[in-house]
Amino acid sequence: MSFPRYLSGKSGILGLLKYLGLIAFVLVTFAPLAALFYEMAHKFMAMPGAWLDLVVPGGRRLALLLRSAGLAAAVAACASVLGILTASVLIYWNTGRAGRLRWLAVVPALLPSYVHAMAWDTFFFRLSQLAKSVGLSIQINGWLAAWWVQVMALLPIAVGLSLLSLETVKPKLIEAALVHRPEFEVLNRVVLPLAAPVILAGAGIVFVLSLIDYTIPSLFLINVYPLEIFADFSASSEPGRALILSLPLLLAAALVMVLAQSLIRRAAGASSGRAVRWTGAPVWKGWFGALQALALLVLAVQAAVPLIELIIKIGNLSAISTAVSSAKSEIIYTLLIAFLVAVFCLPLGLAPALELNRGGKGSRIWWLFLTLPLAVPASLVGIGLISVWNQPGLQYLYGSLLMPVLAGLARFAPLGALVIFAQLRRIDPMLLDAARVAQRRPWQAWSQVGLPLLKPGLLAAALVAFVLTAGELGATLLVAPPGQATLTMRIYNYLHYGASSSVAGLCLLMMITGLAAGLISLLALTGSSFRKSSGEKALD
Amino acid sequence: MKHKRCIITFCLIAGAFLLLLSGCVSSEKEKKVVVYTSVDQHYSEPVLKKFEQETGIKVLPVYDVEAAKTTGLVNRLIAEKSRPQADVFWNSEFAQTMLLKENGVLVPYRSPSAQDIPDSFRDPEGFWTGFGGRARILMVNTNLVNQGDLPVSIYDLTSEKWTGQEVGIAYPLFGTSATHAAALYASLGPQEGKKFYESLKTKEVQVVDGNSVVRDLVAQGRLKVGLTDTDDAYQAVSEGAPVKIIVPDQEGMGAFIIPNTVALVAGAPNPEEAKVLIDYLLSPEAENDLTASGFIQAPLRSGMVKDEVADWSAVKKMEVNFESVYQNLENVKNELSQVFVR
Repeated sequence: MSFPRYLSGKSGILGLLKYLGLIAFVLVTFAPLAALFYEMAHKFMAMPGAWLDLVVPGGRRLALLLRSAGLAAAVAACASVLGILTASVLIYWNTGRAGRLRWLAVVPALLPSYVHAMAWDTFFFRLSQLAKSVGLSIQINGWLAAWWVQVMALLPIAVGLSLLSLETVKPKLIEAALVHRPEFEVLNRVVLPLAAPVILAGAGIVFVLSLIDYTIPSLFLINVYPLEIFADFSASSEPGRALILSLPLLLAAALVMVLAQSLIRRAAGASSGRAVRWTGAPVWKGWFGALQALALLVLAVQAAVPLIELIIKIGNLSAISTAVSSAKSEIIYTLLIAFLVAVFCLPLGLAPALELNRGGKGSRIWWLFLTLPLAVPASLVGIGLISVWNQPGLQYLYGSLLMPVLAGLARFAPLGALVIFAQLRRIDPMLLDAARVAQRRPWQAWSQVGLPLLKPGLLAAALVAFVLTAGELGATLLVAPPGQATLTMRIYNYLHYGASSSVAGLCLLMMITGLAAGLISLLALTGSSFRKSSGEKALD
Repeated sequence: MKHKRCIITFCLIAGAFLLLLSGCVSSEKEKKVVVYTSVDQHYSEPVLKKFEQETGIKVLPVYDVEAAKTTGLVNRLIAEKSRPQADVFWNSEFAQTMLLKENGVLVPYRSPSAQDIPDSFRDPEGFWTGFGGRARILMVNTNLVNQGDLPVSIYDLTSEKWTGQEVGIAYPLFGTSATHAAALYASLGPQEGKKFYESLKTKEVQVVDGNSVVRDLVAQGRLKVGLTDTDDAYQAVSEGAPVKIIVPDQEGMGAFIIPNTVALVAGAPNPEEAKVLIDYLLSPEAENDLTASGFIQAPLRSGMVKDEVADWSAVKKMEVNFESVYQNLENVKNELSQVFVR
């Protein structure tokens, strides 16, 4: 059941606002890329031969790309299996406090990848030292370490998507199947096939996020394709070349997302249209129960290791206060930029989310628009922004706070739109139909019923954008006004200089900010899921 | 009532945003200078603040980060070339400065403060001037390496004394590691230079993300020997890590010294203030401050703060022409990508 037409805003003032929102979204997100493509096309036409060998990777580059894809596939597979096992336990935590607490599993998704990488690298070293002290030799490095740490960094996303996938399965189907078959067989032959579209879509998202990451693999001495892009960019200083080299990643991301979104559309069609509640936790076979327990343990370790390593590195509380006081201006500047991105990503993200929710052929284009920007290297977004905004007459804006805000919007407004879309899917359209009957004008139904129902999703989208912007480096470094810097830039400066306790203190501050933001977001989201409104009770 | 609250809230946010935008534009009368610098903020910020206090010219810095892998400030300067924001570029090495000269980002300025700086550390056409440098050195963990086994040359990195797991270098594709590789190509010839790095690859030495990572791994005892910069190594020494700094190749080709460079940006919005800053950075006072803080270990002038680790005036330096190093740089990055990124 789709969002009512009058609330999708196809006509009148609402329609005009929606189309303006769509145009603004496309301009903000794609103008930097368009500038880069223009430069790339310009140089390509001038020297086609020199650029052809970049378009199709061969030899060493092809081997790198395939190896990167292999690592990403292994990460996606493991994260998805762990996600399903964890979700199969958490899905039954659905009343009261437990119903909210289960979504805490998703919160560590907001931690920057470098926090995971540093923490696990230190953890592996400590483990090897401990093993050495008892006469054993344990070395966790290379592919194994890179694979494991990427799984840890992306596991919360896999768990969240697995939970969503199980929520799309109607409990009545499960209850009917349980009459005839035991629990494990029902899971295997009914639940998983029905949840498969969203599970696979989640695996696709994890695959893309792993494919474009080089920070974790390079820390463990693994060369991946994105590193090749930076190496070439460093040698040539030509962003057009770097963009062409990025094309295989963009194409891989587009392919995976086109497949994933077609599966999600099928899953959305099978959705009950409102949040479902699973009841009556089953009795699983012993070995399956053991696997579930292992998955829950891994999830706990995933959150505990970064937190503990940071606390150890800090040493004492005064290190935190010293780090915070030395970075006061960066902290304030970061909070300001992140807040503005959070606020402005809402009107930008709402219109594409509505288009996604409408379904049909048009939504396929919007799926591409929302997922392609994820695969573009951040520094190329920064270069593109300079090309667009460093123009005569725009100097007043170019050297201002607007630029890092635009960098944050270009990178994260698409994710905000996806979060809003997820909330749109959870709203019962019958409530809105009932509101329309009672209101004189469409905009009243929208502002008095639609928006309040959408509020948790808007809050979640704002908080996701807030936290990701706070941790953004590549694009911000290129467009931050002179004299201003973000907390992430300060952290990386400390990292190079070697002030490990200061770095740990500031990273802990980032982590706490992310956790707080995630907690607020989840409380807002889950509050709408399981609190029945009077409208829902009347419909029952 | 709720609608009015939403509208008022939105207007307040928009108003705050506009106020902030306007607040970012400083008064026309305030003297200011914008400097883009790749020197660590920890070292450069005190020097720039001292300049502010002495001259009354407000400094607006933009710092680079190692994690950007040299796709940061240099590419920003090139992208902004038609309408630059920066007035001064202060680089911790010279190759990227020469790249900017080639791209037309710089203009000549011969500072009166640089009269006592040797000609070999100045661009012949005056586009940039070098001052106080760092050296590429070997760093050794003294808990793991005996006095009698200390390396004396970068070729010792390929020695059978240590396994590949015990030796570390940063990717020779970025930053000073790439510049050092280009210097070896220029000094030894491209074939010999490539052969050295291929032997490191064959030995499977640990190739890590940056010089600071090499420093940390040697200090922690996870590597026995590493090739890094003096400022990174000195930081480990000052923190009391069990490490020793070896200035390599004193019987051979000499140690590679990388000077800081400073240049005036073409079309700088504040050219007069930029020249004042350049004069200050090239002054003996600034060089002495940077030497005292631990960023510069090989000052170009005598009479600087005494270094307890080495007498840099007596150190044998690699004789290499900077132009020749720069000409080798792109080839080095492309060739060594093939060697190490696979």
